[in-house]
Amino acid sequence: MKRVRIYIEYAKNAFKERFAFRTNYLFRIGGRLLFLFAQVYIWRALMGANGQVSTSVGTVTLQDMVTYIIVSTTVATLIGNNVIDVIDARVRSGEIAMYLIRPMNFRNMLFSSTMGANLFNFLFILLPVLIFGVIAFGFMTPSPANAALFILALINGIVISFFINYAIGLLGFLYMSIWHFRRFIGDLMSLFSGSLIPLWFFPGWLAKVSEFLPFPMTFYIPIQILLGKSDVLDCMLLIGRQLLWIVVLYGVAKLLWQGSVKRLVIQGG
Amino acid sequence: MVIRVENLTKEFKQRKARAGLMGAIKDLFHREYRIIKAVDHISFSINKGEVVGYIGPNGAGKSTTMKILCGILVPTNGLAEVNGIIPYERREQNARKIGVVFGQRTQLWWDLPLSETLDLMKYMYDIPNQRYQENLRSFSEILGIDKFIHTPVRQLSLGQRMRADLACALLHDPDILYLDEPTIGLDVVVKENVREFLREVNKSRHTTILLATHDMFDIEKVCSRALVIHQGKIMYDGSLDKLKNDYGSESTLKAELADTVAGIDGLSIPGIHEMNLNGTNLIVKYDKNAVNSAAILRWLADRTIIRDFRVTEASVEDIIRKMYKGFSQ
Repeated sequence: MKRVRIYIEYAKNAFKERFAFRTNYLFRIGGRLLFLFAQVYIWRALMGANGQVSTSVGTVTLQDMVTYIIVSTTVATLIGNNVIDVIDARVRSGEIAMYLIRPMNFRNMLFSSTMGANLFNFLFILLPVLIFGVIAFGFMTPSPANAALFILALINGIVISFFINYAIGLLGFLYMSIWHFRRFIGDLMSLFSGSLIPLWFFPGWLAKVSEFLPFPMTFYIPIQILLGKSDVLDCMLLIGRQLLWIVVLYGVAKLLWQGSVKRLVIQGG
Repeated sequence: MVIRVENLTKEFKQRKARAGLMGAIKDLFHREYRIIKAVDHISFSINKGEVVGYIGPNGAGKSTTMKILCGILVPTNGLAEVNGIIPYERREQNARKIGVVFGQRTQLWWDLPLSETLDLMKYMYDIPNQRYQENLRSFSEILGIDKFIHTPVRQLSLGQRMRADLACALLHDPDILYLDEPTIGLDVVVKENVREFLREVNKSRHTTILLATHDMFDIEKVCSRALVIHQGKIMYDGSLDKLKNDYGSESTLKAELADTVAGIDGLSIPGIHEMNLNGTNLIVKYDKNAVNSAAILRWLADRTIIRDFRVTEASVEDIIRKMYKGFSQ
């Protein structure tokens, strides 16, 4: 990475681009808040007045759950990305050509623009929604150690999610239409990432299956660390597993790239 | 030699879609493909500072060749070498030394002011600040981009966008400029502006230019050499003058005579293809290699009074139209 500067500038442009559509922004933040409300009320109804459930990780209180929801709803703006759509649209229209004529690595270009968008999302969606959620529903303050480990795990989660989406997007190079496959992966991701339901509630066999998938590494693991459901040593192990997944997905994406760029067909003359 | 292409071939697999509902169902189970040779064993080379017009009908293989040279398509067979490297093996390295404008697309950031994209180029190609400012100033002078530099790109007119894309492709002083239909959809004034700019860039920076276009005026005004491609094969490679000589030897003489002359139809000088007399207006089409206009005028002057006359040579457009017709027969 000898040319870091261009990727930083690239991310800056992606950040600035987000300011172009104000109405769009208002709907996004409104949507996030609505989603937060809906989830909190669903879990309140499910867990009842005394609000305690015993699960595979021990007793979970309503306050645990509310904290989980606030965190998962806010960090979703960082972990979720539109990399698949971006690649898909560019391949379909042939616009991809305009990105490949640049002396830049395609993956890093996409990563930069994702990070630029994330900075915007962090400042203008995550922070307001988080503050609102904490005031409205309360929050379990984590220990400083857990908070620090959480941030580390969250960054890993963002990277893992990027690589998953990037790899799926690359399949679009090979097969012009990957819509149904994307939908399938998207559903797998919602289920196993823990963005909607913590994996605590999974039956044993499903929890076992999830251990072999990269998806829980994105939402579930970071939030579990934040809530202090594992001790520090376990947290380190979890972060280690995340790093392992990053290496694996990096390799897979690299292979896919090498295979697909050779077979790239640029649409529309 | 900056560009060397040898026996370059690019094949595409195209799905044969069967007609009708039954055909669509059959396609689900068994697909048939046919191989399209977009580029078929072509060879040519281009020297530094040359401005080459790349001409051919739609689907002839122009864009495919360009994309291979840009390093974004991998050929099926053969070799392309640009500045001593294989572009599709070292795409990023190749990209640092080329400028690309695909007329139908843009590399500008759609939702940001133009200045943001231009600024980005500085970092993308590591352009020294002083050089960047110089180039920006000189492009502003010729292309007038300073007038809309702070406007979001999505609000630019096509002509403005194209000028901006051109500037963007040249800020880093590339050795080679690839242009694919850079004047498509532009009005006459902007077209002329773009051509003037390209001539200027070639003259002052010795930038090698490969220009694919359907607009023969682009070729005539900017290029010194023509490369004609049809169905993936090179049909002509040589100077524009030679092209005119070899294929465009038909000239037209238009004369206004004092009065109608009987028997003038009997003009029988070898080399005359066609003559039309309409009242006092005479149009003679002739092969300028076989007969010259002076001989025709002398023959006319012996029989009548010539009030006025004009000789026009075949334009590149005429020549290419004839060549295309020849191909399709």
